[in-house]
Amino acid sequence: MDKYLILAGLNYKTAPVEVRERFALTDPALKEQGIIPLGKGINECMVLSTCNRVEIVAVANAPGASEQLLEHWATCRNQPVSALRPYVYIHHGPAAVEHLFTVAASLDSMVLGEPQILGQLKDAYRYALEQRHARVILNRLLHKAFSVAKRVRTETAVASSAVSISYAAVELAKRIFDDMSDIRAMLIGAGEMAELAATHLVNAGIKSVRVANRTHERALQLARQYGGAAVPFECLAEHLAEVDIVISSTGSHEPIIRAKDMRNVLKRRKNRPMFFIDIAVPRDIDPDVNSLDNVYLYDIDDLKEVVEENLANRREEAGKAAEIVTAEAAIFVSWMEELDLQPTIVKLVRRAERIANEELEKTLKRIGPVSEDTRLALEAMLAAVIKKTNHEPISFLRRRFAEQNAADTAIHTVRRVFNLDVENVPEDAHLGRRKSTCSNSSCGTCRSCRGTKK
Amino acid sequence: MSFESILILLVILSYSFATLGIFMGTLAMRRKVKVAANWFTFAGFGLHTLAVLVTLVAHPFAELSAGYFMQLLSWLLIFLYLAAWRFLRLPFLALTAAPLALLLFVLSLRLSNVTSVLPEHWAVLFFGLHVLSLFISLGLLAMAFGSGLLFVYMERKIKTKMPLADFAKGLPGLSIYDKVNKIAVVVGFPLYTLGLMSSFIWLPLSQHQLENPKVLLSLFTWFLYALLFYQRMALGYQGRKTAVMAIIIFSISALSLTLDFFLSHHSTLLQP
Repeated sequence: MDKYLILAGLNYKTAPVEVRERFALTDPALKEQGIIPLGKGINECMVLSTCNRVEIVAVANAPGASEQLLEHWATCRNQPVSALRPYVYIHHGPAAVEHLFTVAASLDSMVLGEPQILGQLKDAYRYALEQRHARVILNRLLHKAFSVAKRVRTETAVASSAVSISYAAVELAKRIFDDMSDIRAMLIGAGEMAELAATHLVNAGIKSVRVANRTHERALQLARQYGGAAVPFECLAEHLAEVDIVISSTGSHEPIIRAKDMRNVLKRRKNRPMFFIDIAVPRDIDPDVNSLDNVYLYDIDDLKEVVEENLANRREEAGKAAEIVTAEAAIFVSWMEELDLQPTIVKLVRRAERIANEELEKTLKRIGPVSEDTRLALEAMLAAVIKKTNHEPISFLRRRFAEQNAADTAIHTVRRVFNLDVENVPEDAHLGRRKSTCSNSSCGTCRSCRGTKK
Repeated sequence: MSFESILILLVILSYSFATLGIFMGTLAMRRKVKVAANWFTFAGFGLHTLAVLVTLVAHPFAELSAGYFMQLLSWLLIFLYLAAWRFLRLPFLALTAAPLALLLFVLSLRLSNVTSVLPEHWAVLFFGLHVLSLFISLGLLAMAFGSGLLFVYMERKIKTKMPLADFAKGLPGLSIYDKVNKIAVVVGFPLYTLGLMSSFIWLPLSQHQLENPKVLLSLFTWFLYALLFYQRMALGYQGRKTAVMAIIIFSISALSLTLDFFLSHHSTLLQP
């Protein structure tokens, strides 16, 4: 029985936001119904719907099922299929695998290498598992996609450098202060970007946060948010000597921190280094501050340059990542091609023959020279053993192959029982498994991980 | 080939692989290569320890060659690096320790025929106070020199907002280099002072000694070291200024050491 992997989708490159909104499949009511029901030639299905993309991955009996998917998708959203078709791409077989791996590795994301897409893909897979819409092929495909994403992250620098201004500021701070656990930061003003930078700093494990704002209530509110302390705006200068990182984003038209004031501050803190992040426009911090010893100042333009450079690095690394994706997709496609009755039987028989031949050689070595007749008799005996041993699993496979929906599972089970694919199949490949031990610490999709992460 | 020669060859090979590995691993950002380099350093240190002990057993304190003392300095460098790696988590110091140790070890072979003959009653004082305290402080200065160079490079890049070279992206933050500098000053300066004072005990300063460029350089180094100590401890200096000072002090010390071993080497006591 032939299996066709189909991927139909649209994304931020092929469809504007209005279209993406119209065809999004995130509606909870829609999810209740299972989004795309199985049957009528569709054996497995998973839907990934985010603000930047909708991807439907399906395993079908015929390649023509893609039309069926589109029609169902459009109907779900009460739209004519003609409104959907111009924005959609459809991939079959190897192209579908490669596309999904590319998405999982965040190589197709708007911000190259961003990590959220992997979590969204895991959520989509989890939902498909709960609906029992992900079976042998999608299980394997998605687990492979997660491992490809992990490989890309560890073997390339596609996700290594900061591509947001707030995070770039924190990365720079780490180049100045090696141990963040001893660092005190101060937030001056309450701009959104400054808040984000403060959040990243807190996540990096800094010791404390102080907040100074012209509206003291707002400072108190922010300080509570970060578990820090509010500082009266007028007393800002007194507190400067006690903090190592200053993030400023006020609406002031005049600099609030000047180089001449900083000399005294540095003296009081015995020249310990300070890092100023000035996200305000007009700037809050006198640029001459950067010329002082042990003081480092980055304004919004400096941070933008860092981000641009990091993005360029990521684009360079994307080439290496694409090579990994192509190689892994080829491995998956070759597995899928073998997930059929005939190749499985052939592999089963060859495996038994290989073992028998190895054992025969060992035995002959042990017992010494034998006549040709004896050798032929031993070989005949082994051939009979192979035939009889394989008879039951092969009969089982042939019986199951005739049944709709059971063939893949049976073939997959036999391949795993006899280790015909050699490589290690993830232990948690099936939802029904009671005691699974997941080797992937960031999996979060299998039953065991979900149990522990709550 | 004698046992000692085999040991020497193995030490040189180990330190050579360690040096190559640490530079290649850092430049190519390959963690496994750096780990392998560390293993070579560790193996080299073990063999080096054996070589030092074998020589010590074979010769009494008072008859050790100048080469032996240079070998000991090389050994101390690696010992200090391994201690910093184990207790302070400062693996980047291998960038300084491995090549310097290799250089000193190779140079020590040229001095293996220069035998120092000390009066018996001076030997323990010379060995225990002068050599050990000076060598430890020189080892610490070497670490401060390496971290000072990295500090100056990284600080300049951060100040001028220029992108870091790829190899530097995996290096630690500025504060860690300053920490090494602080250790080199707080621990190293008293030891350097002790080392110099002990040498004046067994070799009293005379007019003749004050004309010796090596002695003058040592005194000048001590003066700069004292200045750095004062700047760090009393004035609270840190960062670029102290890093540059450490680079200068180590450079002068290295010159002084070269004069010491290759030109004069306690000329009143050593006889070729």
